[in-house]
Amino acid sequence: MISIQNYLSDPSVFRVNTRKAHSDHIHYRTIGEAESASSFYMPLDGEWDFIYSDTPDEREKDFHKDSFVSDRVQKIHVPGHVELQGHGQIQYINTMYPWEGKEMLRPPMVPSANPVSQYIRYFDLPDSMKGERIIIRFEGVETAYFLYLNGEFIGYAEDSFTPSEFDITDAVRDKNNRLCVEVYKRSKASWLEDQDFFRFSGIFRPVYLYSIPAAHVDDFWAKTDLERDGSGKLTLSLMLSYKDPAFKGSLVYTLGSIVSRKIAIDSSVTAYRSEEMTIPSVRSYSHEHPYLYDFSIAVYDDEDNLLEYVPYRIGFRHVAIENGAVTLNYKRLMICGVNRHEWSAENGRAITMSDMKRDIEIIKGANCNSVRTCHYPDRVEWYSLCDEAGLYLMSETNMESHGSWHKNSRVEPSWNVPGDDPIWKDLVIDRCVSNFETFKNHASVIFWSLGNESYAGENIRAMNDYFKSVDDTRLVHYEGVSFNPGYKKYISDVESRMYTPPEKVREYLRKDGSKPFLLCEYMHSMGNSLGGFKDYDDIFDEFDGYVGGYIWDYIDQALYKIDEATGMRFLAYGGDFGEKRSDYEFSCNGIVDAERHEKPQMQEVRAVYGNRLR
Amino acid sequence: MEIVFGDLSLGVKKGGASYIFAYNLGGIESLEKEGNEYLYRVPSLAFWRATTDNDRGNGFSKRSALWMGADAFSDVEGYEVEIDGTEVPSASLIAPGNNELISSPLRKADSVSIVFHFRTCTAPSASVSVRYSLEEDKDGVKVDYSYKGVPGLPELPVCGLRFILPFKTESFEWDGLSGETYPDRLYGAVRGHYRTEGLPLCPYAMVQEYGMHMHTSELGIKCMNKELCIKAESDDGFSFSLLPASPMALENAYHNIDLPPQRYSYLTIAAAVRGVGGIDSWGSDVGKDAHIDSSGSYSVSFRII
Repeated sequence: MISIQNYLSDPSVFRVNTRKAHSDHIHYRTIGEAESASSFYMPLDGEWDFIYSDTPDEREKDFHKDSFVSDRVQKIHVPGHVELQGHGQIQYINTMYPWEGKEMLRPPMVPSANPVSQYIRYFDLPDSMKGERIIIRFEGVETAYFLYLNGEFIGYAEDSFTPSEFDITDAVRDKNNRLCVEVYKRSKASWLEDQDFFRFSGIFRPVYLYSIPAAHVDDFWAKTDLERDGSGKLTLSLMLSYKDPAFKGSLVYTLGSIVSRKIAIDSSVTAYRSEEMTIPSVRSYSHEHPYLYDFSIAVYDDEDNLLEYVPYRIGFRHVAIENGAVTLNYKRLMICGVNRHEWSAENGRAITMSDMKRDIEIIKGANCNSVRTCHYPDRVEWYSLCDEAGLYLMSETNMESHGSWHKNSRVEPSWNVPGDDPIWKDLVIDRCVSNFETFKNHASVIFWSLGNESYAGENIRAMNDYFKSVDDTRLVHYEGVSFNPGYKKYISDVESRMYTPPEKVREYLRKDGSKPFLLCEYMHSMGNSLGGFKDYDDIFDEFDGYVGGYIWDYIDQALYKIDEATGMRFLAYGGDFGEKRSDYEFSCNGIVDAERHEKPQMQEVRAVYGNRLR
Repeated sequence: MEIVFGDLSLGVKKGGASYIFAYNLGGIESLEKEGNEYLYRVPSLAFWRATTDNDRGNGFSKRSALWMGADAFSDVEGYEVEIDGTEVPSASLIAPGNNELISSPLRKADSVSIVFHFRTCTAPSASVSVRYSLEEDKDGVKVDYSYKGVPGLPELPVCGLRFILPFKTESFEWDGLSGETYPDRLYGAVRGHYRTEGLPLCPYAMVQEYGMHMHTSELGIKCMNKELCIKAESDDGFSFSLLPASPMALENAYHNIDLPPQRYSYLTIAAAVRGVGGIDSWGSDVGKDAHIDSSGSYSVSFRII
């Protein structure tokens, strides 16, 4: 028997029966399929059955049973936030926890006002999937959920912005499958997801089923580096799984027409690691010339039938700190960046491919070369778009606990999460693992970020240690350590701060300068703002140790609403939904408005960044 | 009643209603009954009225122009909380002091009050306090508004507290005086129970101050299933206006058609009201006894249910 409350409130329980995080590659049945869509995949997006309850007590406790019937069942669109489909309160709040003034809680307590969304989806397996190993993948569910299939408990997951997968091979039927997902708006994870944004819940990113063939590349890392002499290094490591213990076959990996290797595999080969390969005079990857190589892995059975084909685009670049400056490909790197929340005026954070492509156009058009994925991993497609476009990414782990240590405008960490308590350690490390494992193959990712505004202590130190232990080709970033400076020697490769006046930046670089200086947020673009931007740009010319910064932020978080007085649609911001408490207009700090129209300050961004990167 | 000690707020739950007082914003931010929110924003200090024709004629608005700024912006200086008659120091209320309160008996109380202290954004500054009190055996929340003047400031256009209700009123009714009343226009008023459908537009050709109701003992405001009641807590009642626009919006409108579409209801509860004048001609001042001397002290008490 599952104790819902224990799962929700015990920090040591955060994933149950989930598959290990792995690279975001897609496998195809044929090489030709790679041009369109993989036939291994079956999207489950669309209209699902749905029951909404304001509190856990009101939920339908037997909804996962095949015999369940209820007149409370409605329809809901997946993916999407439930609040934007008429269920529950829409709330924008910045640093305060959303239950401020309503419930007095300390971590890891879970509010009693905890809306529950129960989803039901029926599906049949297509012929191509019958008898195969079947995985279900949720790209994003906020904040915690229990999964059932055909009456059976499958698993539990958290970490709203990270894909979770479950192997449902044993529970799935050919026909009439009944998939049930019970989503809780609040969980102990809410203490770590106190980002400055609208607080939503539900299945807000796509859901897929996919099958995996007799032999499958579960994970791979094509680890690259660029030498000073222009040669490239490539080391491939991969993980394989097999349906049949008697499997024999082969695997071929290629890099363009430069590398092509075939290795024999059988079911005992679950991991493979190549030696470090040297590729003479590669074309390097940079924002000016985002050159990517076609890499692929193909798996064959013992009769040389193709079982799966995994294409991927990889780049060769070298990120380092040299003589106090951050360098890319042995030249000084100047970050002309912007923080980007995922946003749509219509659908909140349930954004589409076309939203993402438009964002790439606008951000490139603003002459930015960098994006910080504030403050959570974005939809996986975003990272490939940035690879192709030449936008360096600070890939941020899903964590912010601002309200736990910053209270009444003061640093007040008498209690804070994740802090030093070992009970949170595995949970926050797991978020780093998901970030790293999912995005490790992306050339655009140059920083791993531990999260945002979560103070600093032993657990964040462990997060830093984790990234350092798995990846020596990228830098680790974290700003919150500046409020607990004793940890600076253990946390973050750069001195990262936010909203530091230019003179204070100079003062650090003159007097300390032990780490390169980065502004992970600066030039707060709320309303009519972004005056004095050029003052920061001048610092590039004065100090090599100045890395640059990321404007706060890309897009206004405002939502379409119909004005009752006129029937006109308008852009509503915090407080316009009757929510209390709220931080009102603080939801709108973009260089574009919520409909992606440029705000007037874009002229300044384009000029300052354009001149710097010319 | 249950007290919620937040990091920036004091929450109170009583009789099916919940209240949130925001330390940082200087007032009641939330009043929720049966799932309906009754406040759009924290109430603000009301010092401005839209210039009447006579105000313009005698130059009152020019002499008192700084109160327009004081109406738009106010400065909360501090707050004090009493629970069951004992003051709880603010150091105990905010972090880290409030950590101790999670297991405190104070989380269940029979009475709680929070008073916010303001300085007017004028030079010199007058002071204002607004106290919100809740008691277990009494309905709603009692509000005590108190203005304490200083010499050296011009006469006040009005003196009170303004609430923005997040809905367009369907009807309101009150026990008090008929029609529209000002201190120099009370003679014709008849005490009784009155009702108005919707929010009245300005009855004057050029939009200006209007709609004041003095000596009111009770006001009820309705919109759909929402109902708000204001009861006087002082003998001579309170003065109120319930309008579709703010004094600034009225000030900027030439005609009713210039006003924004009605979305909210602007409820001003006044401790002092200036007369409207017009004694001998356009351009003469309001009679002396209908002025508001800004060096005086003015208060009003009422209960919101």
